[in-house]
Amino acid sequence: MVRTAIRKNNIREIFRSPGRYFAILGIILLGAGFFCGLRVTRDAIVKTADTYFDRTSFYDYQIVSTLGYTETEVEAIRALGIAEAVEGMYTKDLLVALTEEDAAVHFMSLPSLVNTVDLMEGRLPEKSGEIVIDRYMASGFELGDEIALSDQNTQEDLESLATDTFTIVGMVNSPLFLNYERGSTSIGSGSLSFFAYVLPEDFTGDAYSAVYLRLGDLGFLYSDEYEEAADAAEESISRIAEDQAQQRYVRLVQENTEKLTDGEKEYLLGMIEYNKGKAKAEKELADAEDELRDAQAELILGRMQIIAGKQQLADGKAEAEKEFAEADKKLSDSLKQLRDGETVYAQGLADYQAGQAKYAAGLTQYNSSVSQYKDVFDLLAVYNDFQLESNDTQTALTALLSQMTMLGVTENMTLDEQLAAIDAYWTENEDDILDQMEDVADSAEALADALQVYTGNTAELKEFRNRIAAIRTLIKNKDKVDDSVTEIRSLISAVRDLYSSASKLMTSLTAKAQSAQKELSKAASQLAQAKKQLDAAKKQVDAARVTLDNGWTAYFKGVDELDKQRAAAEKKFADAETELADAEVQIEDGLAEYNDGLVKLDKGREETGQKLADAEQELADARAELDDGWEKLHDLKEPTAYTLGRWANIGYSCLNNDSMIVSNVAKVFPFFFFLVAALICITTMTRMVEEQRGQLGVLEALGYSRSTVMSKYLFYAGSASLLGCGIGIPFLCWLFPQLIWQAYRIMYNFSYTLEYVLDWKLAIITTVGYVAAILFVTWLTLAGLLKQAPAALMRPKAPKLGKRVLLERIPLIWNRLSFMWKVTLRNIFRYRSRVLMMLLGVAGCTALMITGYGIRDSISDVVTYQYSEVTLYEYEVTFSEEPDAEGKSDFAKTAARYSGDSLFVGSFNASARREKTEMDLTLISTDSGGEFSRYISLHKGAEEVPYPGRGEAVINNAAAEDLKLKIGDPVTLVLDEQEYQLTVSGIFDNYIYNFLLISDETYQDMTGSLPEHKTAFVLHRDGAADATARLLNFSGVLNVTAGSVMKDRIGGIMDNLVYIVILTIVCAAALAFIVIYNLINININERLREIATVKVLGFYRGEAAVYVLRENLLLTLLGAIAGIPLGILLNSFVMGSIQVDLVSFIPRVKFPSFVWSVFFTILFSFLVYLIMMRRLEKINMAAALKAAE
Amino acid sequence: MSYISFENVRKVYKSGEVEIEALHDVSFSIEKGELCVIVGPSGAGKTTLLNILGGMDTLTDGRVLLDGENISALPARRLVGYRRQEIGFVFQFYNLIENLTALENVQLAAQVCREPLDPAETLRNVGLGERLSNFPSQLSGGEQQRVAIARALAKNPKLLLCDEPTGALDYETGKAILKLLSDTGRKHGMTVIIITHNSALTAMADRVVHIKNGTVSGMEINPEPVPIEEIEW
Repeated sequence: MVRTAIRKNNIREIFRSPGRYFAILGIILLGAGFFCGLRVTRDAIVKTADTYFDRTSFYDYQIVSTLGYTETEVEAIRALGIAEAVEGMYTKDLLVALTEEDAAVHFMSLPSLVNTVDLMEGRLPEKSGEIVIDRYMASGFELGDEIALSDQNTQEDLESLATDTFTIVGMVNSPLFLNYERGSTSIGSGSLSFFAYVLPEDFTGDAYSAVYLRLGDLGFLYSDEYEEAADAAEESISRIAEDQAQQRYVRLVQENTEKLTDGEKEYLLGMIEYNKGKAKAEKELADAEDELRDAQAELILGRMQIIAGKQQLADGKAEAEKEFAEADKKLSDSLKQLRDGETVYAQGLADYQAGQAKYAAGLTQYNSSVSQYKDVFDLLAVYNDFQLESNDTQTALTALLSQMTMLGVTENMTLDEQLAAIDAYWTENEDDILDQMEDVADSAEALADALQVYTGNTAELKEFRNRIAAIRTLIKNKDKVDDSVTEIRSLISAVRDLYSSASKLMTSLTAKAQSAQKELSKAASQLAQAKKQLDAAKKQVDAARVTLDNGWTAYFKGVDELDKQRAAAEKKFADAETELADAEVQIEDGLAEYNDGLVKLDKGREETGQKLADAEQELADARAELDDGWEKLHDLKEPTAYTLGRWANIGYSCLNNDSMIVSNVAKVFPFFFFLVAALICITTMTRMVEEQRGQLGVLEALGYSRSTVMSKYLFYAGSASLLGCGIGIPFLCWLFPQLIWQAYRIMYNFSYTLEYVLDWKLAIITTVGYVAAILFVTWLTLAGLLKQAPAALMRPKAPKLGKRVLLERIPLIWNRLSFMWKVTLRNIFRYRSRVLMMLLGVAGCTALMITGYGIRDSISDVVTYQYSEVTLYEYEVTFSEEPDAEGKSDFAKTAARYSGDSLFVGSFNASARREKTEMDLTLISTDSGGEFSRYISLHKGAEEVPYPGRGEAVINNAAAEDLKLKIGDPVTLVLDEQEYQLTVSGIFDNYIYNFLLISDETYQDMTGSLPEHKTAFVLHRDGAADATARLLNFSGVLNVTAGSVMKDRIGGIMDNLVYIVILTIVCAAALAFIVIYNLINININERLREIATVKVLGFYRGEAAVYVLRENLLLTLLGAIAGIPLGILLNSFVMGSIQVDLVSFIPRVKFPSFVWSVFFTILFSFLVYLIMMRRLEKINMAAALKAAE
Repeated sequence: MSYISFENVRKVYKSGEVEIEALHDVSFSIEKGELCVIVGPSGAGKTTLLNILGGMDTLTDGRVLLDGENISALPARRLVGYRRQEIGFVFQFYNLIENLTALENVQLAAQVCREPLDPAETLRNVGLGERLSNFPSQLSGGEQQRVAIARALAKNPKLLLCDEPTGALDYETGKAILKLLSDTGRKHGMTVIIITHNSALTAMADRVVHIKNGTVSGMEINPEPVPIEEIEW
């Protein structure tokens, strides 16, 4: 028959009290998940790494030779067929120029067979000049950026790559650098910033820095299988390495010898060429010199000429000036003269004009006088005319007469002839004479008229007239006269008579006139004189004017001329100057050219000198090189080969250590989770069953079999735990590793996520464990309960008897307690098991939290403590051989200079054994026991531990604990497979690495010889810079490890651990929360009735809550406090079990951690109470009170 | 005005989609100092009524007045205060705190109200003077109920609500308890309301309210209540 009803009941039960169900589910989820999750974390990490290494063909062995290996050797090794893949890699540390300062970069050749890279961005290099860089540690770069080698690199270093600028084409991860450490270097600051890959062809050298072999898939990462397989191959590989190194040596010697010989030949040729070239150059220079010299002479000449010309010009100018000055002076003199002349002239003119005026006045006077005498003078004038006429006529007549006389006497003529001649002659001239006589008559008439006017008609006048008339009559009667001579004579006498009459007439007048005339002529002559004078003066003045005018003309002309001349002169000078200037410019140009020429000559000289020097240098260099080469060849030592396994790779070994931590924590810790979780679930189920006893009874009474009745609870518990495991394990197996890995990713960047590892075996065991535990206990409780008769079950459980509390017997205290406190105390003591459960649960959770904190506290201190209190040295320097005394002293000096004091010790890998337990550690031997404490401080707590004496050994605390050694115990030291017995004389605190210290004496006793001190510890002065590079550079130094590097590495591990711790704390806190919730939930469920009663009584909400929760509070507090010692214990236990190769821990919990743990516990309690209070509110009072229990 | 009055009270219980009407249109009133018995068959709604009156539950409709105050409109905290000071409860199953002695149980109630009666005195008054320091598990059923009554009385309430006080007791003991209730009520002038399904008890009441199917089916006033000793059932 299908029992649907009961099945429904079973399922409904879950939904009826989901809080309880999910509490169980939750607790188991956490417990199981935590347990499994932590445990698989390391597996996940290792698996992921294993996959990564497979994908990138990580190497198994690395071989290195002091001479390097070339492709030839690599081929040879490949041909041997022992390895799946063999590949050589070039490496070089170089400085790269960044914006602020140079960074030391580890350049490698891009591999294709072994240790291939993981491309994260961009692409791989395809041609020279392309580069891919370290995705993780190279920051601030983008694809396409250029990287350039710094010029701080040595020339030799720069030459090791084909180019010095690279373009970034991609970003990669490298399996050779699993974690963030990039290593140390001898350049720059001493530590490498990041790595980069370029194509092999970009490396100029031909010897690989290392050859990597991948033997094949030997086994899972870090597995024993792998170790065995790898160990098996070591010897043969080692031999091959040495063999190949030797072959290379031979080849190298051969090659070099050939090269050097060729070199010598070239050198000789070079020498010859050089000499030739030198001669030629020298000649050319000499020629050039001569040319210049000539040029110089010319220039000097030219200069001189110019100077002369200038001088001439100056002189000419001076002279011209002088002349012009003179001319000027002359002109000015002339001017002066002219001006004076003008003055004089003006004066003269004025005088003349005055004279003229005077003359004019005189003339006026004269004229007036004249006009006074005008008549007279007119008369006189007429008289003059008359006189003239008469004279003339007289003359003419006379002449005629004479002629005629003559004629009359002429000899050869007869008188008649004579007379005829005379008549002829007279007739000829008669008319004329008559005319003349007319004229005389006229003029006499005129005179007579005039006289008449003047004197009137006087008798004389009449007389006169008569004479005139006579004449006229004569004239008229010209013909009447026959005798010409008589005529003439009559005429002459007429005229004479006239004349004499006129004269008589005129005598007074003439006298008057003569006196007037005299006067007038005096005046006139005065005037004339004056006029003459005036005229003369005028002439003078005019002459002066003319002269002056001429003078002015001449002067202006002169001025013009002078100006013209001046201008002309100036022009001439200007021209001359221009010429001179041009000439100067020419000279200047010429000078410049000359100077250029000089410079060129110098330069030419220099260049030649330089070239010659260079050539000389080259030859010298070549010589030196050749010499060097011969020496080097001579010095070339046979090589040493080293074979290194994977453990030599830092990232590889670090990952192992780092992941071990998680697995160590996972070994122990989760068990406690398991316990707490299991405990709580069991309690819950038990109480649930108890609570539902009534139901059980009913079902039994109805006739259902016991197994059916149980099935509900088994189903409830079973399904909850199965689901919890089913969800929790897979989920947390994914989540925890991922979370923890995120912390690791700060140090390891090779994979973004972890592979999912689900350890089925573990999962199943865990699930079975949880489910079985819960089912078992549930069944147990049910079985116990169901023993009772159904009726008994159905009856309400008799409430536990109220009992007196012990405290009641002390009235002193009891009576002082408030009522509510009495209730609380009674409740506590009444339900002991419940109380115990609560205490345990809370204490357990608190303890878990404290342990979580404790792990962190223990760990975080270790590093600080170790490096400030124990490991005092900063650098551990490893030499390839123990340096001699001088070398050591040099080193000490170098170290002191850059860092601080140093101490040489012998450091060996050894192991110590006591009875059956053996452990690896580092053996240190020194003869400076007293100094030793400065480098590694030996103390236990506050006590100093002295350096061991003969036959004694001092060992560190962790090792001592593991080997269970006390002071005085014997211990077996195993060194190089030999065993030696020593006595433990001291145990010192040391948490990183394990050490066994002995003195050199002891060593000698043991092995028969003194130990090789190949290690030096170096102290570090405050404020000194990083000396790693300098120490590395010291000859013979193989390796330098800086304390700060170690500190960081371990610090990194510790940081990871902290992450785990946080996870733990969170889980513990979650667990605490659930636990408290659950317990209180149960508590309330069981006391519903009580709570309802109290509410009905009228307790306020807060009061009711307090009533119920007070005891819970108290219990929580007590539980938390009880959890403290529990936590300390647990912490010690857990810390003790966390074994890491490098580090041992001081279990401790810092005070704040306690506070935090208790605080959180109480906080969760409060949270739960807050939630609970709401529940209390919702309690239906009436229903609760009504129901029968 | 009546001391207690229910006016058209309606109570609906909602559980998911299911609605159950426990009371519909209940209206009645009770005077001060009365001994009122509310009778009705099982499931009639008596307890619901009592719960509402006692401020332990809310109503859906209508209102309840106590001494003029509308208690159905009181906010939660005031309701608690109301319950604290004014009301005394007596339940069928005593509901004593197992962990406290009889005296302490009464003290529990006394400590929360303003003017309590002396717990020890109250216990003596109910006849348990010898049993003050006994735990409930050490008391018989009747004694336990008496402690419960003492607890209710110690609060000096105005109203005493008793839900089937004799349900878990035998005949004789039950009568004694009822007597105690009515005597105390009259002595102190308290209003006593007793819920029962035993209709024989109605005789002792001053007022009887019949509840049937969630509503008042009848109400009677007894001018002369019969003393409980004289009632036989």
